[in-house]
Amino acid sequence: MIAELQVFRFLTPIARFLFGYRIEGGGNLPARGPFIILYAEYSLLCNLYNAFQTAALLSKKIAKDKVLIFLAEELFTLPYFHSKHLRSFLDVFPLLPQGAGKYNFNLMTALEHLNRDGMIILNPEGDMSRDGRPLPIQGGAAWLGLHGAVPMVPIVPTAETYDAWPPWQFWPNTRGRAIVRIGKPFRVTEKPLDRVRDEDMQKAVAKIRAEMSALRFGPGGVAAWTGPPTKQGDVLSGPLPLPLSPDIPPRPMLHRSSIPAWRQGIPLLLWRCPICHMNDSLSQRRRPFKAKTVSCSACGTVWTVTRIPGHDFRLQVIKGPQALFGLNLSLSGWYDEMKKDFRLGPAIEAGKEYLPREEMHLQTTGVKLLLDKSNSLRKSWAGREAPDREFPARAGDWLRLGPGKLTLTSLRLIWDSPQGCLDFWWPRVKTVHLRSFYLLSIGYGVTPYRFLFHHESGLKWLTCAGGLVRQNHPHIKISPY
Amino acid sequence: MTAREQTMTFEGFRRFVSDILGIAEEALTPRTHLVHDLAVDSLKLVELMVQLEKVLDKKIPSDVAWEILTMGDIYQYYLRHAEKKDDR
Repeated sequence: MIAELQVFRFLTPIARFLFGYRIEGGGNLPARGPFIILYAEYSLLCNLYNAFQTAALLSKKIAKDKVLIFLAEELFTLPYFHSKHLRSFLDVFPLLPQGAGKYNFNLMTALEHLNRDGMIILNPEGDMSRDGRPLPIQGGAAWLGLHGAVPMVPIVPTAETYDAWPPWQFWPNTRGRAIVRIGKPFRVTEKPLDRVRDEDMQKAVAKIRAEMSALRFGPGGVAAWTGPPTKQGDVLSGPLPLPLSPDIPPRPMLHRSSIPAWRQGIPLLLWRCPICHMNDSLSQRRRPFKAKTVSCSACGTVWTVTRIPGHDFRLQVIKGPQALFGLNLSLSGWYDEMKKDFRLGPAIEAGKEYLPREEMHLQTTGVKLLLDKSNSLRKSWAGREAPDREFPARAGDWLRLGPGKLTLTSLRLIWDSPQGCLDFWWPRVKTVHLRSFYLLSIGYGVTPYRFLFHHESGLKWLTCAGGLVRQNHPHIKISPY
Repeated sequence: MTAREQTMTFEGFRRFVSDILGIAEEALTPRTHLVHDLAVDSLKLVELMVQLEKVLDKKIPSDVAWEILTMGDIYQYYLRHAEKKDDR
């Protein structure tokens, strides 16, 4: 065993004690390459489990140089990757950044690796789901599978893993069983394709989706995991009567919560009330020996939060409008209600003038700007527009600036700090991506920038940017929300 | 010798690229940058490079692939390596 991997010998029994960690279907893993391991991320526990599995793989018969792991490029910005001591540990894992721009060409390296009987480990969704439901499958895994015609092995933690440690919660729940299933190998084509066309991609993506969902959710699929809406115990079949109070004037989106984002819990996901659609009005409360509650400061609705292992969380209205009393939906169901009818409206900042026909939509303070150390802004900060033609020399070599004030307008994103002011004009933005709830990444031309939020949910920013992109800038590739 | 094995003219090369990217040939001038000007899907760019590898019978390093994203640069790269292929 590689010496640095010994640490997992200690961590694995802890996970076994707390969450009943074990692996089912170990016999499905091929003894040698080429093959592709498909993993999923929808819980903070998934990250730990993925490291366990990789360590187990590397520590067995498989030579280190036979494995290549794709890891979301944003993760290379974590301090973990920059600690001298951890770095030596990390070098055990042969990592490739997965992301936009130049990083996409790593797929060529991966294809070569498969042709030399290597193994690739990647997340075909490319991101962590925020509400526990699967995200769309990206093209990379399908493309490799079609060119290589190699077996794909899904390794998916079971549905309980989400409620054991949902991404919006800082600490894990320590009850419950969260095991890992290794599925039967499958292929998206029997023979390597000489040329991959759109229709091949669509079929391959659908196949990967079906295999991964079946392994995680079983025959009932996602619908069985979320469960139907109920009221006073009766299943509701018609449309829900929401939102209830659309006449409440919207709160300007300039709010700053006094609670750090990492402590907010469910309001990271439900950043506006699903009943009255007021922004930033929900707060979560923990009560000793009682169920958690979530309440809205605008319409007065209170929900209890129930965890059902193996299913989505359930939120039931216990106080509020009479017509909704007893209404019980999955958390992802409330999230859908929250997004329903979302329209990006103008906000007003006193004493600030923007360009003609420019509308301000959203603003917050305490946002750090992360830029690559090779970015020319480090040497000279000339002009207000951010450089857009520079790609990082290496992944994860980032500099933090600020904090500053971030403003989203109809024409640009503005980051304003004592160090300077930068504009990111929407027509030159290529990608908008949210990693966890705190790190909003944008590809400005080919240059990546990150905004790190401290006080509020990055999901709110992603949703607002999404509204703008849908209306005016369809060329921008944006994370699902 | 097939048409593809003969060195392509810029017009022929443009047809080859247009077919892979699904973009009208007229949009592909020597100065067109596939990312900045056409926002070509990144997976399509990878497919283009893989197809170019097949035509040239040569591996294109990912760093190089990222540096040659104007039509003119890709064509020059193609010409340089197609000639070397002929010499072989």
